[in-house]
Amino acid sequence: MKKHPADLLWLIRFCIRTSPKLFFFNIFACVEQSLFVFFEYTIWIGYNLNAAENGAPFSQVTLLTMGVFALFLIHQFIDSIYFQWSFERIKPTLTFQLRRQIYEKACSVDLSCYDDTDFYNDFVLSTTQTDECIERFLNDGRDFLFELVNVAAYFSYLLAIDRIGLLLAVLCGVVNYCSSQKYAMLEKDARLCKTPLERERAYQHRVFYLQDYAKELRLHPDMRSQLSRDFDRCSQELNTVNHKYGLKLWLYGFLKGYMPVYFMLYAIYLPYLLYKAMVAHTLSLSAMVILLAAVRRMIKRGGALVGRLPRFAYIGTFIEKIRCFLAYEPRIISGEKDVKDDWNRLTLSHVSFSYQNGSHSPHAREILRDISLEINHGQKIALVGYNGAGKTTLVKLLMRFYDPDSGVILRNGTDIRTLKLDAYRREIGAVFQDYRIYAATLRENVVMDLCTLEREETYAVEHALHRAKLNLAAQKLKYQIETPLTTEFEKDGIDLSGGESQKVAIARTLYRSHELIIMDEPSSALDPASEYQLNQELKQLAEDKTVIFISHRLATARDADCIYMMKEGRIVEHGTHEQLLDLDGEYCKMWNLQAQAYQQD
Amino acid sequence: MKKQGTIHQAVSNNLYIMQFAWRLSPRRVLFSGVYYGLGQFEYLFFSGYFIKKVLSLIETGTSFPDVLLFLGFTAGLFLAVVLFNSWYENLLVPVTDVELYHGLCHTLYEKAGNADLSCFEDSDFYNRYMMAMTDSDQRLIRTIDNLWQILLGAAAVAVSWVMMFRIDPLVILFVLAPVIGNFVFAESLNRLSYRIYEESVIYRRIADYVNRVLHLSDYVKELRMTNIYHVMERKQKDAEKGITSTMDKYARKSILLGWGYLYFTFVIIFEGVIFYGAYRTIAAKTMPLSDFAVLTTLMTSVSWILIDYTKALLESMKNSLYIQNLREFLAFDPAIPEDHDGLMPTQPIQSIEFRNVSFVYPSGKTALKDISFSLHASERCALVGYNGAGKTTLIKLLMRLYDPTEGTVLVNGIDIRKYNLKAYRSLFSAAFQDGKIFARSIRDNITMGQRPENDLLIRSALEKADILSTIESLPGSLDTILTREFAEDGVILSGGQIQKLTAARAFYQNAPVCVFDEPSSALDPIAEHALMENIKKDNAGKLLLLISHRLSSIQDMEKIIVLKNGHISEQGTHAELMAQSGEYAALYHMQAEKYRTEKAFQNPIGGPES
Repeated sequence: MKKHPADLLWLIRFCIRTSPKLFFFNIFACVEQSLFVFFEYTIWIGYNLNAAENGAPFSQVTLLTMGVFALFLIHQFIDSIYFQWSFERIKPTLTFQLRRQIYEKACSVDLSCYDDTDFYNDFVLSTTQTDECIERFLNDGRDFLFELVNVAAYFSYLLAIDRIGLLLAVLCGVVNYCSSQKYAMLEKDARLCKTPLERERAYQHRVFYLQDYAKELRLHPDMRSQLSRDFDRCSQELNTVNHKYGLKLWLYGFLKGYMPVYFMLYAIYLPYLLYKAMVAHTLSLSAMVILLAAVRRMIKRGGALVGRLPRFAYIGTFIEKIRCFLAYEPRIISGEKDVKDDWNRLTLSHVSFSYQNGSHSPHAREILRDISLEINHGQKIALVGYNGAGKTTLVKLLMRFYDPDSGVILRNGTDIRTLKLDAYRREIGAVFQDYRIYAATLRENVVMDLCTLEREETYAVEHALHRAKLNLAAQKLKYQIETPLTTEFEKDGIDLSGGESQKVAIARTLYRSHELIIMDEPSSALDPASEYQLNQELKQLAEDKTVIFISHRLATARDADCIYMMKEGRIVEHGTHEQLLDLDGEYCKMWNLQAQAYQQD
Repeated sequence: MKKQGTIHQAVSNNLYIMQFAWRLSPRRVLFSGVYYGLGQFEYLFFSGYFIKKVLSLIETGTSFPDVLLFLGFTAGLFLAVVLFNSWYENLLVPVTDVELYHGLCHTLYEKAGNADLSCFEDSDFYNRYMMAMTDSDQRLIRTIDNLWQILLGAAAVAVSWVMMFRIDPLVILFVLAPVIGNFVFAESLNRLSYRIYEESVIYRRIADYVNRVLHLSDYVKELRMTNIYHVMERKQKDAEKGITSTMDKYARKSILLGWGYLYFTFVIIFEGVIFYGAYRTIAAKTMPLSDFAVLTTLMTSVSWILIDYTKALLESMKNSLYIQNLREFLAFDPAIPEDHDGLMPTQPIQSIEFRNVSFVYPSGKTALKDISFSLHASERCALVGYNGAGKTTLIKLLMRLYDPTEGTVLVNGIDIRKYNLKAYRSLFSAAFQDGKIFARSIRDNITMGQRPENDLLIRSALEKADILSTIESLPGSLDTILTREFAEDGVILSGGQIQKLTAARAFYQNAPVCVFDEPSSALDPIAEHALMENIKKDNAGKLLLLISHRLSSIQDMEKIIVLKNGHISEQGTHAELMAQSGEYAALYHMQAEKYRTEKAFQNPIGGPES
């Protein structure tokens, strides 16, 4: 089992850096608590029993008791701060700080990481579960420290009082450790057998309970019974595994549970103590009671200590993933050059690209092959072609979400890789098919940045919304542009319809007055009327801008200054609509297919 | 009043779940009782009996071997106990966990599978359903365990008090301290921590939202192209401040309450009992050492048993809420039971008729108003209209995924509610725009559970959907597993390919009535044309319903129905509707405009592939 000490140390250092006072106070309180428990159960009870057996003066007992009551007043106050406040209080501070670091990284990792399912899953695991990771680390760390101090206290106590007992307790620790190891190994084997089955079962569970599949299952009852049979089979196979490992686990579980505490303590240690007390008369009865309890506690705490170790390995894996993510070096890094001159033209020269993610993917085929094209200021460019021809990939390269494998992309003649990434991207406005509305105010959804709330900004936002034809008065926008969007958090919030959301997305692009606007099939799911309207709006929006758009609706493309027809990663034809029709090639074929029906009457 | 109700409810809910669990796995219920019983027994045995017995054996002068005999007996007794515990933990629990999960899920699936589809779209129902489903097995198990803890905890409380009382009737008074600690201080603490939770829950939700935005791949592009991250960062900062300041606000109060709790629950009883015992043995000399020794361990148990007991009580109130959801969900009566029996529909399908059909969603949103139309054998019908006009709802009503709120749907002149549901639905083959892929082989995704003798029909269906060549180029061909859910080398299809596969599924079904809901929205023009032609060709002689925004592909349909805001605004053939110059004509012109101002028009190429 991998132990991850470096990862745990990393997290401890992180805690100390982020919230030193709380962290050290918590450690202090935990140690103090552990020592008091030892004192109370062993020293103090021992003193009283001894006093009772050997007849110490009652006045002394009374006086000390008063002292203990007072002492505990302080101790419990510290404990209460620890339990009720400081221990919980450090959690959000740590979680949020760690999340901040992860988020900053998340904004800069390459988009290709999101295509890599393994990396993405790791990332999702580390981000969505930072709170759980911190929580587990603190909880287990607290218990571990508590037990460690406790064991150490009993160790020194027994070292001073009864070495035989100590030897026995240590022996128990060894037995415990060995059987725990064996037990954990068996458990791990069983887990390995069970995990794929549980995954399959979870999938069937999801299909049955998610809304997404409800329709399919109703329409295809055969599929439903097949899934149900598979579900039964998974349960059966799981129990076969459970039975297979169950017997051995039972045995080791028994050894682990019985040998140290019951056998060693009551069948070996206690008879030894009794012998000393009854036969050899070298031990008082009160001392015997106390020793028995002390050894018992040490065995139990030691067992718990040993049992906690695998949990740290588990937390370690978590931390390792987070560290690995934070240490990720993006391949798309910002260049040095400022973007000062006006946007003039964008040139692609012999650009080829494949989604490789290293080279382990067997499906790594070239998505773009030797693409050359030039986009000049004010031009309208249309990308058309077959599914999977590489149109979307091409615009992703333009936005520098990926870098080409070979060839260059030049802005005004300068390789975009040498330019400052942020500045370069800010020049581009993109309307994606899958734009998002954020749970923030309408103003923020348009500005897409921290708002200054100045009058000029208000004016610009309103103007952009107006141009995007989102009519403020007609909507139920209670607070005008300060209205919160989505009902995620605010009762007053509004959920926009698909059409309205699209208008907000367009307003974003208008507000920023980008030089280059990229639109990736903004209308594919719209009804004819909405599509028509959208096209009109986009045309207006793009009047004096440079626009690249992707569309399967060739009618949208025909007014473009240049249409690029893509097939299997290549540009196979380009030119104006008329030129391409004259060419009578792929584009012409597509156009005719789409147009023929409309032209029949 | 309210409290009474919840307690009554909690009892009834907990009993309900016990019965439920008993049906699924009686041995689990039974043995978990034994397990928790033995746990309490062991606790009390060692803290209240064992030491006292050993000491009194010595005090009464029993010989060393006889004391050893007692120890041997104890070790033997616990050999049996630990053997049982280990069996319970390592064999019974894992096995019955699977059993319980299996049984519970089957019950829930049955119910959910029987629930009307509209329920799934009703957020109230769906939320309750989700709550009943989430971690349901773990909670079921926790509830069983918890119930035993309460029952046996009560017994343990009683026994431990009796033990104390028998040692000294006065010492029982010290029990008051942990009772006060648990029922006064802990109670207030719980209320306070609930208030803290309530006040900060909104901040936690905001933080979760930011977390979602930052890790879901949906937001990746915008995070890079805009500065929206700054907005998210500020939201997260506000959330952190909200959470921590709420904690700080109540810090003083909770620390004081916590102080009182600790002092009463532990210090007063522990140190008090020790002092009292010391007084009785040393000063008054009225208590034997064995009693004093046992008191020092017994008082610890008394406190802890009480703490566990109150915790278990609190937990059972929480569990009760979950059970309430489960109960309500299981008590739900579906309007369209999936196993509904009735007439067997006769083939061929002569007619489909909607008579004054209206549909209102459970939320109160009207989807369709007074829809009337009829289709006859081998008629092909297109539904067109704006987004959200109710086209898909209409299809769902036809397939009896919903029942109309008003009016009737008739097939062959008979109300469809009179048919055997399964047989009725098998009259349809359908491809929806949000068709789902299952993590199984391509073959299974086409046949959907049927077992054909050979692949001919599958191949021809894939051919019609224009995806056969793509699939045959895959290493596993028809046996290729889709999605990476289970298979490392599983294939992930693109949106367009999924759409084609969904269409192939419908082709394969080959039922008397075919329904296609925007089957081509993600396809390129060539593929779209090919698919549309095949849909029309393949369904010649059958009833066909097609929803499409591409008005060019539906011109030759026998009937076009235009929906607007949930009602039919026009119906007729393309020519008739164009002549009317209404809604349809307007839509058509909008789409056709660009295609028609063509000057140099060339002859269209005949087939989809050349």
